[in-house]
Amino acid sequence: MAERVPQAAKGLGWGVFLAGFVPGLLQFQLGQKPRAIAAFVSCTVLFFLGWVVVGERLFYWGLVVPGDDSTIPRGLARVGFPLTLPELLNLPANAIGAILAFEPTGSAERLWRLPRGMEHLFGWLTAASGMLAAFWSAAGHWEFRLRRDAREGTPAPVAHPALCAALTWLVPGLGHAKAGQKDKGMLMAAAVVIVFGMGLAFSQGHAVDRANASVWWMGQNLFGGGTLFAAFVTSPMQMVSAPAHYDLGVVLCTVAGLMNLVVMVDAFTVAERSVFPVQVPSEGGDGPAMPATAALAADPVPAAGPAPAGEEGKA
Amino acid sequence: MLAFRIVIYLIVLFLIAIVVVAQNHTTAKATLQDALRRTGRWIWWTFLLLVIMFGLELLFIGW
Repeated sequence: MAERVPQAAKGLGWGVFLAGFVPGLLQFQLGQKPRAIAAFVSCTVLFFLGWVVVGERLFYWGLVVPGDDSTIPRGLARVGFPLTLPELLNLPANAIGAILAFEPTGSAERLWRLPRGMEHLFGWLTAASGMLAAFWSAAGHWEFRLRRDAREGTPAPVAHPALCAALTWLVPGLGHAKAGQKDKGMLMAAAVVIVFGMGLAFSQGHAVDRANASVWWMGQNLFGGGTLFAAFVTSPMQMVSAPAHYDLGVVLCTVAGLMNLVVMVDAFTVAERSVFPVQVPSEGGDGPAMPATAALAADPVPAAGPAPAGEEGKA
Repeated sequence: MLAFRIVIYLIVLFLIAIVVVAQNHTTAKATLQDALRRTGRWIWWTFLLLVIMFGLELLFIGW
């Protein structure tokens, strides 16, 4: 017999998922028109602030460069879908930018490879628009989840989960602090920042450079604060010859970005579970489910959620 | 050079373990204790992986 899937474990469906790629559309569907406008305008303005400088460079920074020899990526870029991450998450602005900038000529392709002044900073802005679109999408998903699963008496979240994730993208640990797990957040932040710093140190500051290692940069940019620092300080430095541990540095900075993705997801989850605690089956499996925080009260490894009173700051 | 690589590997392994196990805890103290245990376990897995890879190298490439 098929096991009944609890409602909370179900996703919100393909419609909500796909609508999340258009900033503000989820908020519009939820009836939050001012927020929908704010989402669309903030993502679009951020994208075009960067695009006016980097423009067609975004084709060169894509997952696959849509050159003459790559038919499918070239076709996608031509109709407004260049595989540039994270800009792709802000689908409308990325599409308009690509359609405006794409020209199927050899001289246009040479322009893709031509460095621009302050391109690191402006490239970060277009990327930030993609990340911002993702956080607006996460906010919309959260509101849909509340609308579906919240009952009378459901507590308010300690903080908005999407805001916690967004803060973590810029400053690891900040989202946890907002969600009530300050000391754990600081520890996770230290782990991310140390790995990122080691990467920069081993590569003598050249590891985070969208112009030289654009595919690696997609992973590194999951730590937005780190790539913003690099865009201002280290990326503009001229690399005369590759440092001895350049490869190690690039990998470490990318690992730090991926680590921060985990921290972001955890920050979201901590805030989410302040409203919807994890349900674990009671002993024997046939009794009513209880919140994991209660079930694991005596366990040294408690479930996620805001730190119990008195435990904060022990370490 | 080998010692340098091993030291870097162990440091990064521990820092990754912190982020991974932190999802199961609410405090830094509990996270650190679990991360130490997890790093120890991962070192054994690393050692096992090295032995298997060395064995495959001997088998297919030779000494």
